[in-house]
Amino acid sequence: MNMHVETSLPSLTPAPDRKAGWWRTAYAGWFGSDPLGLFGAVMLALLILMAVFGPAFVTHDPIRTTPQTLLLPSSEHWLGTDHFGRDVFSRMITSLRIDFIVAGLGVSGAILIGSLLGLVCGYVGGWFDDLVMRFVDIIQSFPLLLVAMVLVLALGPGVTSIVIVTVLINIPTYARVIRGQTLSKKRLEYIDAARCSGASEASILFRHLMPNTLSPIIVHGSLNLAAAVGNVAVLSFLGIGIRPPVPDLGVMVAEGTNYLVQGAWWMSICPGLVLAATIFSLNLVGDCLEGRLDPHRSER
Amino acid sequence: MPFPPLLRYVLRRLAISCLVLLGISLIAFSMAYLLPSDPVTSRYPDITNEQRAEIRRQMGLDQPLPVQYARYMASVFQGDFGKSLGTGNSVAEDIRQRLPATLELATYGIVFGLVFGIPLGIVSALRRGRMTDHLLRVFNLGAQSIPAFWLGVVLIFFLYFQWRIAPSPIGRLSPMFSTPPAVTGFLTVDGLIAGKFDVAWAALRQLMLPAFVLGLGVVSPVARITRSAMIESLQEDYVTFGQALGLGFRYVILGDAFRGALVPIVTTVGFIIGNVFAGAAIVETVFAWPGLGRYAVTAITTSDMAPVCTCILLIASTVAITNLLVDLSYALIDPRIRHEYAR
Repeated sequence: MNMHVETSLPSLTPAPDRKAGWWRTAYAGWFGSDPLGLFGAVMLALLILMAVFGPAFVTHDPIRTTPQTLLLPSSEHWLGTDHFGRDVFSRMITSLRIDFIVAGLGVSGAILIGSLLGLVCGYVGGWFDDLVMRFVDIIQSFPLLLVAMVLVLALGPGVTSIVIVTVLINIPTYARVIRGQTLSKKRLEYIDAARCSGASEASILFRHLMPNTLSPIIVHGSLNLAAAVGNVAVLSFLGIGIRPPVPDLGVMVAEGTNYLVQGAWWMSICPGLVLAATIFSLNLVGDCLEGRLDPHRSER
Repeated sequence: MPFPPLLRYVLRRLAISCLVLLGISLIAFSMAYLLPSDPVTSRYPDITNEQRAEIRRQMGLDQPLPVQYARYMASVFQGDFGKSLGTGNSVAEDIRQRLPATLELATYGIVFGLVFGIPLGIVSALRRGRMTDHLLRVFNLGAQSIPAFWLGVVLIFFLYFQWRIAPSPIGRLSPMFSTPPAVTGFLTVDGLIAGKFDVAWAALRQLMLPAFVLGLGVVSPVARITRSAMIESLQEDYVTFGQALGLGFRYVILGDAFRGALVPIVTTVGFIIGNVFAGAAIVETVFAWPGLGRYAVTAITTSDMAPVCTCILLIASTVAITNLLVDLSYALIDPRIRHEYAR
């Protein structure tokens, strides 16, 4: 008997319309025709460009103090100066870069370690899986900010410990997600096929299983990055994160609160606005991607 | 054997909670050893080595760690949590003073979050895919994205410094009023009980902004989970059946569908309660609220170990007990779960 190949399955994605421009295809393909996702992506791209190239164009030293304190925004100082006479705009751009780097490093580290842990747990199973997952359960049932505060206290404040803490508190998310993915994929036929053709366990794990478990990471990654940027700023605002004189958006808001009485609104309101915009854009992108990957939400 | 399944489930869940609490106490205890500073050296900076050894012996620091842990736990069970270096009081006394402030703030914040979050989620689910749903989605993402500490600062700047609508952010009650006699510890309630309506009103005015900022962090997760749970339960047969019977909105949507959606909502609320305490640390710092959160942050920034350990114990136990209650409440809320265990 000939092997039957089902050809009449309805295509899940409509065939690309040749007449539509490439941008329309890309918009439908990447953002699922979700205008908010596109808006978030554009906003995020602008913020990243600002963080990457901004510091090179900044006209004032973000750390050097000058006698011109608490100046109003002007053509010379776009967002005024702070209580040490430092240019708020220059500091804000530099902070944005530092916060992106700290949160980015933290989330990447968590993705790396968490995914590996989840992959091994899901594949190996048994007592190792039980142990790691119960531990993850316990960590996840506590407010992350509290865990972060305690860890920072143990490690001592500073940029390095903020990165380490961001890694540690986000590992559970990825361990759990990738474990679930691994569990659902490891019984599939292509894994059996690989095993039959004599692939080693390591090769099955990393060459065949891993690439197929990674798609949810990008969703969690962007939502996670949003939370991480917020957490870094909160810890710094409370005085247990990044410490002055290193510029950070949370530190800037905290410093500005003491000068609200004198009407110096630009010191804390402007950095906070950039912080909110960063988190908002990451959340928009993450929400859009989540809608595309999660079938429960795709029929909106 | 002879335990019925539901009771067995409850007992197992209780045992797990006890284990978790034990683990938490170990973590809180070992915090003191993770710290780089030595408690004796930091308290008595210039003493000889012999004196240091003598003080360590008196404080019991020369004993093996398990013995020290046992002693620590024994004193915790007697209500002795040590002394705060910052305030000079016993930690138990400090916490007794500050707990009502945080509880009042958290209660108003959570109530605000639920009162707005649940209806928003229901409306989103009913108007799914329409303009209302999209607008609420943007609102939720926005509320989730605004850093609470910054929102607090912005509100204080505009509503107090610029427009003078809000009272000055100096804690629970302006010094013009005398505190009503403590009955519940909630100033708004105590004021009413004492018949001093001006005091209750003043306390409520002080509460509004911090509770709003804290509650806004609750609105979006509650609205999100309500929306998705409602979408799911609206597709259940019993909802269709109710609609086929011609029962009204109140019965079908609020009675049947919402009740079916309640389990995930309660889970989320349980999870949120822990986060509200963490959020209280931020809000209390911004609004100079004399509560536990600010106490914990001050203790952390000044490496004041006794309060830090106690706060970890307290918040972690609250979270563990909340999780326990949430798990146990499932059987109460959802007859299907109760039925499963009754078999």
